Amino acid sequence: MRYLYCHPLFDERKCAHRFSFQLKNTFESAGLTLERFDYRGTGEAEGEFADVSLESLRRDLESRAAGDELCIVGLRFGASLAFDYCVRLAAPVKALVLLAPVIDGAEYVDHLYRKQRIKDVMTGESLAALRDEGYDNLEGYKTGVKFIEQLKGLNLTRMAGEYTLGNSFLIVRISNRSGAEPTITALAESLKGPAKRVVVENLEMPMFWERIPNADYGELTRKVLQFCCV
Amino acid sequence: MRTTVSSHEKYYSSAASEVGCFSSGDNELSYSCVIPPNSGRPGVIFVHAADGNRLGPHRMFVEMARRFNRLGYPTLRFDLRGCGDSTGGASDGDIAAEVADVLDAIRFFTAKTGLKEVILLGISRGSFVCHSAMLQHELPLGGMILLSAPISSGRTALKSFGGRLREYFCKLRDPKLLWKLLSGRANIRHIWRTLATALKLGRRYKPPQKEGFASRCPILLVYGGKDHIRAESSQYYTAKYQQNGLSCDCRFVPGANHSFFHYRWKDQVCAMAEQWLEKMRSGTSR
Repeated sequence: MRYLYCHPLFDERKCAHRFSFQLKNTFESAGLTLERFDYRGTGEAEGEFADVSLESLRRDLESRAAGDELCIVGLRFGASLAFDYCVRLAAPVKALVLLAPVIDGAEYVDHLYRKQRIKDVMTGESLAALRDEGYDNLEGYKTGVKFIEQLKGLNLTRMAGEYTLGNSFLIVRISNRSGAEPTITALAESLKGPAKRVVVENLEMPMFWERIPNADYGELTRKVLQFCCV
Repeated sequence: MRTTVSSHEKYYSSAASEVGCFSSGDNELSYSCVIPPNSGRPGVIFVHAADGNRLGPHRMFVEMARRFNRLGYPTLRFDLRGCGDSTGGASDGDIAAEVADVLDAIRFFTAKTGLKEVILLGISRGSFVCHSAMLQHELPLGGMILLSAPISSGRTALKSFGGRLREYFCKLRDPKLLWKLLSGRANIRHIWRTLATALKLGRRYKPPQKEGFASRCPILLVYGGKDHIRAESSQYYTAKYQQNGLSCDCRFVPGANHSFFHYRWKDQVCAMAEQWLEKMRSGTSR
């Protein structure tokens, strides 16, 4: 079995890096290898972020994920991309682990713009003048407007309607507050028919992809490993 | 010094760079290194900010390193202890531990490349670490580029605290975020922690007592024009370097904040650093 990790996007990629390292170590301690990779134009990979599109992300995941006996662990947008891969290509993925998945792309883009607007207000600058045609500034990244529109169009609950495979799912809601999240519950419910197994976990811990906290990822990494090993 | 490059790390890295680990004390520090062939230029070592990693804010270090590589500068980006892919616990405010990591990074990089001189490039706390290393240790430095280098004072702490408060007031003007607060879903503990951290800026980067520098090299300081630490910090560092007869160039990126949160600002910082490196090189070679 191969284990593949899909990073999130934007600065969530940087903030969640330590988590991916600790998850890799947890897998290693169990004698397993968690393969981490960056999509072109992100993280350590070649290319410019300005050239990132949903097609380029899909291509990168498809090239890494080729082959049978695969378990994909994704965080935030990485989870959404893994889900998209699984549903769209009816890919032979044994198990999917969706950690705090971005379920509604439009809401995600709205969240990114809100964060950006606050930064813009704080500097008091008219940043609109700094924009290039066809691009916008999101979290310090030159982001294609076409890509932003593609992000908005991604909706996991809607995609779940097309899902027919018998994979196993672990969906983890991570929040500072305890309790269930209606969108995650709805996604899990819509998968329950065709999916082989759907496990939903609610973890009360810092949303570590927002900033880099001195967080203990032990419980989360153990749960992921436990699920992947079943 | 042990260097390991596992097949996994090779897979994880881009084709042109080498990724591996070097030792620093009990820790293995993870790095990404690019050595352009026969460049004759000094190497650049990137030192990231508190709680950051070698990607830099908004992938700034990756983008800067690529630009430097295209000009022929070898680069080393590495994760300080407890950060990124490096082992160990976070230094937790221990500057000496981070300085030790930088010294080991210099030793590793010069041994690997055979370079006689390196340039240190730090951002925020990383800049403070570079400055401290230069003060205390004899190092083969060809220059230092310090982005948003901080220094503590009561005034910077108040400004930082005021900035954070203003940020929260801005958030309250957003109906969605206001509702989050009113419905009890806001993380109040985190808000208090953020405000307390801002106030602690009054102590976090205390000016080192040591007079004189163990190492000497030209310095480029870069600040965001809207960074609330820029006035006191730029004055402190400029005066300190000039008093010690060190060449110091201080520049501002108009409108930019502490972490240069716009791709155009990142471009400007990269361009400033490139020009400075090339100018310094042509001055040296003349």
